[in-house]
Amino acid sequence: MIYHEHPLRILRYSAKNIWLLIFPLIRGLNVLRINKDVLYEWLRGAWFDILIIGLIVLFGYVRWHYSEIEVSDSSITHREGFIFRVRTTIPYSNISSSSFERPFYLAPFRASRLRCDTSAGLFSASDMKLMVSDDVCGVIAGRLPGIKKNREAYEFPKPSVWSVILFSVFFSSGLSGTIYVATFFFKGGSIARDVIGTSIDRITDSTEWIAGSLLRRIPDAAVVIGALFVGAWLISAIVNLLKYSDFSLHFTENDIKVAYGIITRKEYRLTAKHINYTDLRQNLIMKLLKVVAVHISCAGYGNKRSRLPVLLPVMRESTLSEELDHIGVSRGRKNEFTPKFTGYWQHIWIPAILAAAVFPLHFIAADLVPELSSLTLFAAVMVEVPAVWFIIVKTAGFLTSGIAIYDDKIKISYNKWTTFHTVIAERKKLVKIELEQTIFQKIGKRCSISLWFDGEMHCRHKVRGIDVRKVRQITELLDTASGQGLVRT
Amino acid sequence: MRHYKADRKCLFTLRLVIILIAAFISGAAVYIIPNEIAVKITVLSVCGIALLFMLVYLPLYIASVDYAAGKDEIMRTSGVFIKYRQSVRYSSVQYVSVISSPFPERTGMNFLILFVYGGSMRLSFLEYRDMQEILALVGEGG
Repeated sequence: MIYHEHPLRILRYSAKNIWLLIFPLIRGLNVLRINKDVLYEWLRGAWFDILIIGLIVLFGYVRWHYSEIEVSDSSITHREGFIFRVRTTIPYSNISSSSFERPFYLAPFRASRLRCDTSAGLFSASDMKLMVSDDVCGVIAGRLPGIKKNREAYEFPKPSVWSVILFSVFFSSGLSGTIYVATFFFKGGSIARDVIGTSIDRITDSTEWIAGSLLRRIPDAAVVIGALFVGAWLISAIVNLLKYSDFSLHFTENDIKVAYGIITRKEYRLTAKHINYTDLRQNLIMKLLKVVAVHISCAGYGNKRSRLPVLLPVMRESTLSEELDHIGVSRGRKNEFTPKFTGYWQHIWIPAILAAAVFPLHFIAADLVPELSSLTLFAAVMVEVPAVWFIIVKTAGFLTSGIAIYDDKIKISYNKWTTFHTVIAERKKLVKIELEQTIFQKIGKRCSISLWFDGEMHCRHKVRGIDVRKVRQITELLDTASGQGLVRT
Repeated sequence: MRHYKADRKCLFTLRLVIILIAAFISGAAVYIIPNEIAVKITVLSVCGIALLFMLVYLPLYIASVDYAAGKDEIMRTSGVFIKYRQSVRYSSVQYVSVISSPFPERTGMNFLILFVYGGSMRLSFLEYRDMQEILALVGEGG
């Protein structure tokens, strides 16, 4: 059966022909050169512009007309183009994820967005992106692989409202960072005013008006900037809350269905065999509270910047049940191969040096320019706080990072920036291993190991400072399992 | 192993397209640029580049294209100044895209894109019959 996309698609196809406006533009430029009565000439030429705009819409219509979707028993085919015909065929068996979305502004038109993704390609762009009417969407959804009726599948208990709120808070551009930046502006603004005010007073009395009026505005401006940061974070949190609310997860042995969103409901169908790995993500607060957010790597799922590949929003580590194990989501085991204790410095050296150097630098600066001492003290405190925070984060990262190899799985725990990752994957999904050794690691007989798994996004998972003998064991175990000679040094 | 060459009929189509583009740019230059010398330089440059492309680069490029289809994989070799080789296993093909111009048997403008794990392989300027044969080998990613 052959279907057309939704007529709204004409607008998108029309937009693609916007380049045709070059003709009225060339004409306009010519008019400007020859005749000075620009307005008159433009008005006279309006018919031509209207003709071009009409052509753009006509091209959009023709492109829409020639855009056809064919749904067969084994594949979905999209044909498009009226001069050059493009035919894209995706077999259902290769579809790793499909998504259905109906934003509120498309609801009155009874139109939906449909995306199909496979593990092919280098970038995270969708392999097939269509806008179809609800009826056609229903037909296609009936043919695509995945869970069609919720009652056929096991429903994972819905995350509580609190867990979604916490998830929105934790993953909204960093709560701690926002509070910190806001504090910087709130407090820094008044200090800057005092310092600059005192300096100007000393230069000349005639500048008194500046100290009196203009400088009064510095703290206000700083407060506004600080408030903007908090506001931006708050908006991000609310957007995330709306996006991930009413989260539901259904799964069978082979398929997963994830749906979320209040204003724009989005439904994903994932194929379990196409899940590359599970990533249990935490920040320091989440680690202390023993909660995790379960993310997965699956082509087409959460590959847009505005979407996170979340499978389960914030939940307690202890509640990660074995039911999820067969769809590739598991808690993993304790690390067998952990970093050497002598490698601790490698994890913390940047924040440690920063934390140690900040106050001596402040004292030097205050000695050289005493007027700025309050400002440098404030700056020192503001640098010291995150430096110490990072030492704590990196220490926790050092204590918890490592690798475990068991059954047909591999688990890698590591820390990147302020996030703690626990990545669990099947060994056969491993595509590359890289070993690195710095001169200091060579002395300490340690090295870093990086691993890559299948996936559109090539993501490095790196554990630092593991004993060389242990790394040899790891590579032997993994090379034997894959038999592909993955190690690169 | 079966070798497929680029369809030389595409040379005519490509030359026609290049002539049209060159004519359009030259026409636009005459229409927009007020200085006569600048127009002459532009038109001559455009025509020179177009001739070089039509008579030297394109024939060499088309001659360099070779697609070797084996039992399990297909290898593409092409390039005039820099040789480019790429091979893809049929089993790693996830899906395919076929691009054809009007009258595909006569223009030689048939393209096949094989999307595989981590990238894609583009088979350009195929003869229509060759394209159908390769498609049958690949099985449209199924």
